[in-house]
Amino acid sequence: MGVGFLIAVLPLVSFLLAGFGVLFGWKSFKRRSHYFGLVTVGTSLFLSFYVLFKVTKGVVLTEEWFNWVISGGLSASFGAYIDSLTAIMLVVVTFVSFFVHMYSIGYMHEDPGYDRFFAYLGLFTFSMLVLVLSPNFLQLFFGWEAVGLSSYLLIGFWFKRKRAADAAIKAFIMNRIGDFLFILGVVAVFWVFGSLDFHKVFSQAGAVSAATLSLISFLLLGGAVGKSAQFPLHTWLPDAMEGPTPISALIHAATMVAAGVFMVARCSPIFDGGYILPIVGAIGVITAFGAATVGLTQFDIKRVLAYSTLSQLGYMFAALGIGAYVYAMFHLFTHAFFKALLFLGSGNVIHAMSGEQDIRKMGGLYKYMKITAACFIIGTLALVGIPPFAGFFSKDKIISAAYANGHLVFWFFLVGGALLTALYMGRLVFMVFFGEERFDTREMKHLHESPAVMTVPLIFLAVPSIFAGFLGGWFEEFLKSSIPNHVREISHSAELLLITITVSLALLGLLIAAVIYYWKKISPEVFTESPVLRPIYLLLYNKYYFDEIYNFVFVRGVAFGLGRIYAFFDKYVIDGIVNGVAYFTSWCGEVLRLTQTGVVNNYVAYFGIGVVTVILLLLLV
Amino acid sequence: MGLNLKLLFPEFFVLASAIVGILIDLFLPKRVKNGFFATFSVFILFVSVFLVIFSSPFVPETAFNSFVKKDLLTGLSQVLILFSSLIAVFVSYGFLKKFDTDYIGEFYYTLLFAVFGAMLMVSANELATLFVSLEVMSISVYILSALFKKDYRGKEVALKYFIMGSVGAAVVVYGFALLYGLSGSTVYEEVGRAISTLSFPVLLSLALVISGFLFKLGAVPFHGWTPDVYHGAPTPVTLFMGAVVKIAAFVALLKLFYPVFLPLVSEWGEVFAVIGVVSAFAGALMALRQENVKRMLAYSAISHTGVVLAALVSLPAVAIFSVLFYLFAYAFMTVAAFGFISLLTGKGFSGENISDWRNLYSRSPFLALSLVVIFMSLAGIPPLFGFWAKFYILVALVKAGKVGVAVAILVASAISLYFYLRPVVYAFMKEGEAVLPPVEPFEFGAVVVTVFFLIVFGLFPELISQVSLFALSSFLRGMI
Repeated sequence: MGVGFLIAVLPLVSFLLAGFGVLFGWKSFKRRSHYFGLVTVGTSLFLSFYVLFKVTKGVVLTEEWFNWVISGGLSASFGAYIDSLTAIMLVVVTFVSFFVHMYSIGYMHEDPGYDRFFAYLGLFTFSMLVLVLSPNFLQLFFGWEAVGLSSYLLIGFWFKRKRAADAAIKAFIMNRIGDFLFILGVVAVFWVFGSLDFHKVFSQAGAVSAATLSLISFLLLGGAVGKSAQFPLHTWLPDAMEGPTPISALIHAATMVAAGVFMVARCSPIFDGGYILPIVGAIGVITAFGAATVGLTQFDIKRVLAYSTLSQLGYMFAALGIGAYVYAMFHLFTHAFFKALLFLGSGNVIHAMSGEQDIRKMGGLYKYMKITAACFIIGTLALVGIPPFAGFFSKDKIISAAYANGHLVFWFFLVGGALLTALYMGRLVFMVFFGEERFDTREMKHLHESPAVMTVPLIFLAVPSIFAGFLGGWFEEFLKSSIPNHVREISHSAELLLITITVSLALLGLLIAAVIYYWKKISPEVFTESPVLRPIYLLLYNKYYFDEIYNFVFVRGVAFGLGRIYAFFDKYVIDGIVNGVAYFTSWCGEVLRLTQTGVVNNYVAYFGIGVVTVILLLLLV
Repeated sequence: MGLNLKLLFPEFFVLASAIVGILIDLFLPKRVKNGFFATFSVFILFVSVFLVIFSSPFVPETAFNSFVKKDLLTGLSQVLILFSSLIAVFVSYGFLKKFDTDYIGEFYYTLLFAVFGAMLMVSANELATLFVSLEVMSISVYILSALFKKDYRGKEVALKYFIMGSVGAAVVVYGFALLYGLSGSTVYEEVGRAISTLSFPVLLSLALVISGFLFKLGAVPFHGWTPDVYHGAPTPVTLFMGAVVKIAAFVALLKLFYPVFLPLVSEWGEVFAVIGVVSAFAGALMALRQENVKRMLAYSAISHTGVVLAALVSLPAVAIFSVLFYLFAYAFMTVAAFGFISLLTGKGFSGENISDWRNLYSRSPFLALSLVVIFMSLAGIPPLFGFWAKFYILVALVKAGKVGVAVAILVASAISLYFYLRPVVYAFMKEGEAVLPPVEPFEFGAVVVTVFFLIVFGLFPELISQVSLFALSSFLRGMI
């Protein structure tokens, strides 16, 4: 036990308190359920800073909470292993979670499931903290699954809406595919190393053949791809928008999707030893560029942000793939702040528009909600990578590292992605906050800035979105104590050139967006309606038809075809056997019950039979 | 050797308190009796727990010229007996408020006599002491069953139980007499010296003793009385029978059979295995269609007894350990289950049938969840206490190479899952209205405490396995 235990368990306390309130319908808990969350996660946040402070002095904290069952050499211990990597994650998770809690007080204010929401939030935070604290693969897997479960609950929070329920199931199933590979990976680790402890496994990783390590890292990567919504398992994340907006902020910024990146960084000794890294990089680059192209065409404010998350996670995976683990984590770190900021900002917009999410029906909102707009623009600039905002430093490091390590194809597409990012984020900002007002008078009436409880979190998140980038040097030094960073040195002038290219492309992207959507010099129809570009536009608008393809091949094809065969077999063979057995069993019960006459004489007779039976048994054996 | 009276201090304390109870009963007005005697009994039992804990020796000690032998196995089972009795008193307090009787004082002090009998039974190291303590306990329980007014079921059951009990006692005492004839002594160690091979008199005495114990434990085919008695007795008494009598009988069995019949361990082990598997199956099968929960739990008790008996075929030390662990779990589950039923029982025995529990979830989510914990623990679903109990027995059987027995028990458990799930289905999925009498706080408290333990010990089974190992090592020390 120790401070790590407290950090992880406090949100669980919040979950239990709020959860009991829900379960037993305690009225007095309902309106107060946010207190549990704020106090516990706030304390966790404070403790996380304390831990971070301790770890910066070069200490690695280890704790053992309890040993569960030990059998056959498998020890299932729960505990904490806090090095710089974990310390950073703790701060990020609790920081974002705390402000999401605060924000939810306003956003979920009128929802009948107010207390349930806070209960789930506590569970979600707890799961993620357990995950990042884990000192072994088993706890990692526990946290991994717990995160999946709580995301399922939260995405399907409004389960009465069919779309929300569908999205929750989709997220769960897509994650299961990844998790299946992941658990195989964990088993493989145990098989090969005879232990699940990070320390033992990583210290022996050098002695294992590269082929074995490749297999393990491939399986683990499967889990990461599912959880971090990378190509080709990315389709659940945009649909996860059906959950309440604060949840989207939490999922996209700090908890769920960060888990994959964190896990790969944590397992860097295994990934470094195998041949898998180029695949990681390729997946990252494909997602980074592909998602950015889709983001250009979407009209739902949250969907655009969702594709931007996919794209940014792609950057992180690209960084992992070229061996720049620290840069991947740094991007995760900065991204957490501005993505939470953007989502909460979009929540304010949706709140003000009374639930409208289509950006074609917005416009000119700057006038009505200045704080939200200002914060949203800060987040946008950070995401686009305009200096000196946070995203500039982290993204630029990844792009430069791709160049420095000689991955020129990666570099090309990542730079292209940066241009596209500027384009779709510029489009979003101009369409939502500027230009003519396209909403009708009904929405106009209660158009207002959100209450302080929903704007203060934005301001608090805006601060690190502006300044977190300057921590880059410290961050790099700090994290190098736990994870490697294989980046070749390049000359200063070359680096300057690369920065210039990236930044100018980002600015160019914003400029194009302004030309089309602010000054309206060119109509977007020029692109969407022209006979050459229209098929491409449709391809992007329909997200490369991934959903349709998956639906056709797996859901209708494989599942439906096999399903019919199984259904037949199930109905006539299995059910026959099962019902037969059940019938026979219950018949036996009936027959035996006839012996239960309630007459004492019979019982005494049975007694006599029993004595004789015992004698016979003694003689026979 | 020698008297060594202080060793029996906890037993004397309970006995003296029961006698004092008789005297107090003469002077108290009826309306304060329930409250007073409940408090009195709780106090006595609570103090006894501490007396037992502080007086139980790790190195076995004897008293009354080896008529009584105490070790940690005794101490542990006495704590378990006292704990179950405490819960029984809590439940009785609520039950007596709901169901009227003229014999409130008698109820509580008879309960204390029964506790005394059970405590002495697990310390007995001599055949006559064992028999006397067994009868003290049994006769007290017969009386307890018959104390309620207008309860024809209770009176009928008491008579039935008494007749069957007499047959059982007769059989056991014949067995003991034969053993005395063989060895010229009634102290376990000395009787044990006279027994080496399965000669005819040994065979006969062994069969009679086994039959007597199987009757007390309610194993097939000696089980006839169990469903009728469990069903008909007042619920707190059923609780007491299910938990305390069973613990006492099993521990007495361990303490008698290992020292006395050790050379024949493989023979009687096999007998218990056969009877155990048959009981496990028969109990599970007969419980399938029961509508009355108390009756269902009676069959479930037969099934559980079968599982424990089957464990005796594994290697002695492992068998004792796994039986002890199972008794722990079984006592908690039984107490919780019958406490729960008593809590739900209202006028005219409503609440005893599964159909009375329809849609309990909407009436009281907490009770519905407790129901899930209790019945899933009985079914042996992880991570609840009942799972580990079954788990250790299965491990013991597999380690001893009795894979067939282990598989049979697994199949029986699979069948039993059906009837354990039925109350859950009724409480959560059936439309209707649960009949819920006003909740008695003490009954409620008893259910909360036991359910809490079922979860905690399910999550941390080491707590119990460590204690059981201690008891085992202390017991084995006495065998050398």
